[in-house]
Amino acid sequence: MAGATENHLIEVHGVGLNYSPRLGQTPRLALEDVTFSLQAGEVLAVLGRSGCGKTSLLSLVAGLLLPTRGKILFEGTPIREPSRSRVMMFQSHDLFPWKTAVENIEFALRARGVSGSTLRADALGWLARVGLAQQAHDLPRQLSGGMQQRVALARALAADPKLLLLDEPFAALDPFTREAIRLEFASIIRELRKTVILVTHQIEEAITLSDRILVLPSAPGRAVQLLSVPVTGREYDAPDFLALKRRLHDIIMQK
Amino acid sequence: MALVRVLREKAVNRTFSVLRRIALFVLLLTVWQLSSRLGLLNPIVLPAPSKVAAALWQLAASGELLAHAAASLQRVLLGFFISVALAIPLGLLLGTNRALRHGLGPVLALLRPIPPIAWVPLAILWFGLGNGPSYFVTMIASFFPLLLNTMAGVENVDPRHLNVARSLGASRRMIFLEVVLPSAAPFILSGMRVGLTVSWMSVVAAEMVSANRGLGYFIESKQEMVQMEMVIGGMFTIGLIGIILDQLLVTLNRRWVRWQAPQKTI
Repeated sequence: MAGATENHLIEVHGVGLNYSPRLGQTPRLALEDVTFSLQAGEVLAVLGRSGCGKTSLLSLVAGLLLPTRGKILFEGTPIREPSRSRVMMFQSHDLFPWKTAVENIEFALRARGVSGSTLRADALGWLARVGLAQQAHDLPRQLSGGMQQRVALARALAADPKLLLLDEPFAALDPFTREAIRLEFASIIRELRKTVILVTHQIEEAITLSDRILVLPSAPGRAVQLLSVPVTGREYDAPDFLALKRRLHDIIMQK
Repeated sequence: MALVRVLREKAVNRTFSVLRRIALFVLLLTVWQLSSRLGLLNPIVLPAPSKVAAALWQLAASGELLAHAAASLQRVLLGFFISVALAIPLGLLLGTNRALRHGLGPVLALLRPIPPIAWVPLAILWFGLGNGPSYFVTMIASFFPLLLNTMAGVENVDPRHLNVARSLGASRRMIFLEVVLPSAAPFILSGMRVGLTVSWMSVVAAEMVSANRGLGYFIESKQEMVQMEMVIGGMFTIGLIGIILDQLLVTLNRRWVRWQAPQKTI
């Protein structure tokens, strides 16, 4: 378990989450005693099996949920509600279907106060950045799954967040599209020097995209583990990559 | 080339579909006409379609039918617009306010099953004879479909879209106008479609009881004179106007909710 230190962008201290049950049911423990911190410009992958609380953790950092125990500080202040400083991008189908690609991005720009003559140009600029300038006036249903995720990424970036929260953003894509978008995404994130928390259940994805990996246990109560990704370990055939992959696999499969 | 072939196939299929519908309608009319000719149907109870067509032509030429139809349409449209102005804002309010929804739930549950025509005696007492009761009945007829659909639309907003908007830092006003309203639009338009149809059916019933103009009054008066071809002509006109009103809303629906995948309509 990693201890949180001061002057971090985000600090998570002993966080636990119980989902409120219906009357007469026992509360469901989603997370227990999670502690980590994140510096600006860092990419943290949160890895774990389905149902281990990865998305819950991301929702807590986004401010969409509140922890039942512990505290989460963003720039030293407790998180109590969503903020455009911490934008979350969901698994799939989260574009507003009634807005075109460019209108979806304009929504994010207007939410942060951009208006007037630069609005459309800015939105088109973000679309061009993800290679979709030609699809600006298409509705989401007219775009492929990969294109939709690119628009969602452009929209999240257009909000200019300090922290980008990605909930399995490539999970709904086919393997070939996933690989292409993953590379594109990695290049944009590094170029913009964004701080990112990426939830994934793909070990390779976690290693290639992140600086550190937080492994959530399959059942609450077990220790959370935090591992650094060596710079030399991001290539699929590098010995460090294979060693880290094996280690992460063992941790996740631990019963 | 492949696109041209697909478009051509679609056009052919559509033409066949229209022809099939027309053929079935013509077949039904032929059976009806033949049955009347062969004396299988009592002409007083069910006159032949040729007689109905002649009566319709005569009524249309004299302008009598048009005047009655215009009176009914005016009542329906005014009542419907009042209903839209009341039910949609109330539905949006109840959809977003759980406490209010729970508070008003029992009252709405009690009022909803009351058939619009059952309000006529009260409406006459409140508004007197004339157009007042008809406006009220057409308003109440479309009120509940509109109210309930609007509420359902608001309650069914995809939480992911709300979370995205909140996460992007959108204001409450932005979320309401740009997420809740467009998301609820298909439900609201569907409620308008049902509401307008029920209003149209109810105005005819209301006019049979408390009016001296309109298609309901027309049918009632012709029935008293045992002019059944006129009665059926009036019924045919009601059906035709009902279809036109419904198609208007279907067109509006397609235009306003163009983001949805095209849906089949009857």
